[in-house]
Formats: sequence, C-alpha cells, structure tokens
Amino acid sequence: MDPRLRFVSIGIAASLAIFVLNAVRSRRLREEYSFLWLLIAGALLVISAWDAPLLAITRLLGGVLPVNILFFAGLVFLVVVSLFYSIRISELNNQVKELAQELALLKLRVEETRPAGEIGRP
Amino acid sequence: MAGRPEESGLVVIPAWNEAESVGDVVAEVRRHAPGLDVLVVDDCSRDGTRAAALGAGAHVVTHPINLGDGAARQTGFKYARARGYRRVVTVDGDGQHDPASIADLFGPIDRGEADFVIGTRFRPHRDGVRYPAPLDRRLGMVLFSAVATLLTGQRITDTTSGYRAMNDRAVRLFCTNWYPQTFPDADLLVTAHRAGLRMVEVPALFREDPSGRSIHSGITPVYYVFKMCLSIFVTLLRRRPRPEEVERHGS
Repeated sequence: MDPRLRFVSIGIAASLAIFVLNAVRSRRLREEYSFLWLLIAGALLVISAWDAPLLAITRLLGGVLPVNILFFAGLVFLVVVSLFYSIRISELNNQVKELAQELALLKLRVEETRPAGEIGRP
Repeated sequence: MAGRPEESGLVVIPAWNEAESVGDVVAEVRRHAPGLDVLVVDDCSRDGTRAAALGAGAHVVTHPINLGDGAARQTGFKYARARGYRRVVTVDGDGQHDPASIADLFGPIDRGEADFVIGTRFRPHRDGVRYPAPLDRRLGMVLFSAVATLLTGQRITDTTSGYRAMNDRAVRLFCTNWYPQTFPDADLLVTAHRAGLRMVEVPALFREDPSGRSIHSGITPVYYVFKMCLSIFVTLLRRRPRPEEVERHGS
C-alpha cells in the first residue's frame, strides 16, 4: 500500500474513533449504537496499518483487487446498518403511537376532572 | 337501545379533518342510538373537527400528533377497555356509514353469536339498498374478499368496511399491537379468525362517500395491495394470539 494512502486511511480511522468516543462522552450517542462504529473504525485502522489480512481475504474470495473487497464489505455494512435503523425506527414509531394514545386518553381524563377554565394552568 | 346498563355501549368515530361532517354524524348517531356513548377520536385535525364534535355533544379524545386511521380506532378501543364498555361500534366520521344500521351490527353481539361483526355493503340489505362499488376498486375488493374468505373459512364480502361492531373480547385483542396501525382490513380479519374470535357479516347501510374521497385514494393502490399481501402473509407466519390477549375480562 502506498504510504500516503496508508497515512490518510489511518487518519480517517482515528478521527472516526475519536468522533464516536466524543459523541458517547457528551451523551449524544448511546453506547449500544457506538459499538458498530467503533468496530468499523478498529477494522479500518487494522487494515490501514497491516494489509496482509485484506490481501489474504481477497485471495480467498478470488477477488482481483483488494480495494474491491474493501468496497464490497463497506457496501454490505451500510446495507446492514440502514436495515437495522429501519427496524429501530419502526419500533420507535410504535412507541410514539403508544405514548400519543396514552397521552390523549390521560388528557381527556384531566379535562373531565378539572373545570374547563383550569386546563393549562399550573 | 334506551340506555339500559346491559345495553350500554360505545360508538367510536375516528375523524381526521372532518369538521364539516363529524357534527352531523354525531347528531345522527345520538338520534339512532340514544343509549350509546359517543367518542370522537380526533387524529390531530387542523380544521376544527374537535370543536364540531364537542358542539354535537360527543366526548372527544385528541391525538397530539397524527397517527393514522388504524391508531385512531385503537385509541377508541383503549378508551372503551379502560372504562369497561362491553360493546363498541366504529362509525366513520365522513358520514359514509348510516347510523341506522348500528342496531343491526350489535344484534349478533347482543345475542352472543359473535365477537366481531362486520357491516358489509355487498350483501343484500332488507331495504334493498345496493352500494355502487367504484369500478377501479372492485378488483382489489374481490381479490382480498376471496383471500379473507379462504383464510377465515367463512364468506367475507367486504374487507375494507370500517363499519364494525365488537364485544369486549375483540376489543381486548384490538388494544394490543396485533391491531394494524394502517388499513386494518383483510389482515385484521385473518388475525381475528386466528385468535378464535367469532366473526359474522351483516348487511349495513352505506352512503356514497359525500366528499368523494376514500382513505385508499390518497396512497397508491399498489402500496395498499403490497401492504395487505405482506401483512396477511406474515400474520400466517406468526404464532396465534395467546389466550390472555383475547380472554374475557375477569373470567
């Protein structure tokens, strides 16, 4: 691997890891979501520093260029991640529905037990 | 229906931006079924649906965000369950369902013959009224009626009817996430059948949708067909609803 490419690649992997860790530190990213990203940053770092495993996998799968295998793996990863997010969004959708229904029904209860003028006052 | 306690029940009217019609629907329901309580589920309308429904004397529960027709019906079921109603009927807020048929829909439930009653446009009514099915939708209706008939083992003629009555056993199931959030049609009938609910269709009076629009006209029919096929397919792949999800209260 060209040293320049290696340098850039290590830089990107390290930045990704630092960004993810910082997001977790500042509580913008939950730990369970950080796992995948840290895994990817780690894998990228390993491949950048030491390309023997990538070359071995390329030979094993009969690929011509290691970079093709890398792109393919990246694509598969992104598909899996977006599928995971679709499932998560569906779950959240259902939770939002439950909460909105519950809120609507509770609000009606409150309206029934308090005179109309009091609604909205502390 | 004159308000005897054992005959009390709830009319659930899901409404989304139906300010023009919902007041009339509530008034008509109250005229035809004076013993029933009326709940309008306002699915976050922006046109004064809530005020119109309150003005007509209904109870109104308002979603803080728009959740869709299925979820609005389910909010009504949750209300019914929380307050112990033994029977519920859903009537659309656009005036498409003639409240004169409410008594017919409750008939099989009151006689203990069914848990879930579907008001159908496509069986001959004693008044000889026939609903003119729009041609473009007839194909899908025929398809899903055939599928529902096959999978429930009884003749189903109207899978998309929102004019339905149910007892507390059905309400209990429909309060769970077995109830589809969008288009609770043929897939719901299959779910209800698999849960062991006794279903029956009765002829009901429908009017042509006064606004000329249907919940199925906004989305592409292609998506509807896809959603319904997928939903029925995965319903068959799921375990059957557990007995405690359909069991009668306190028995």
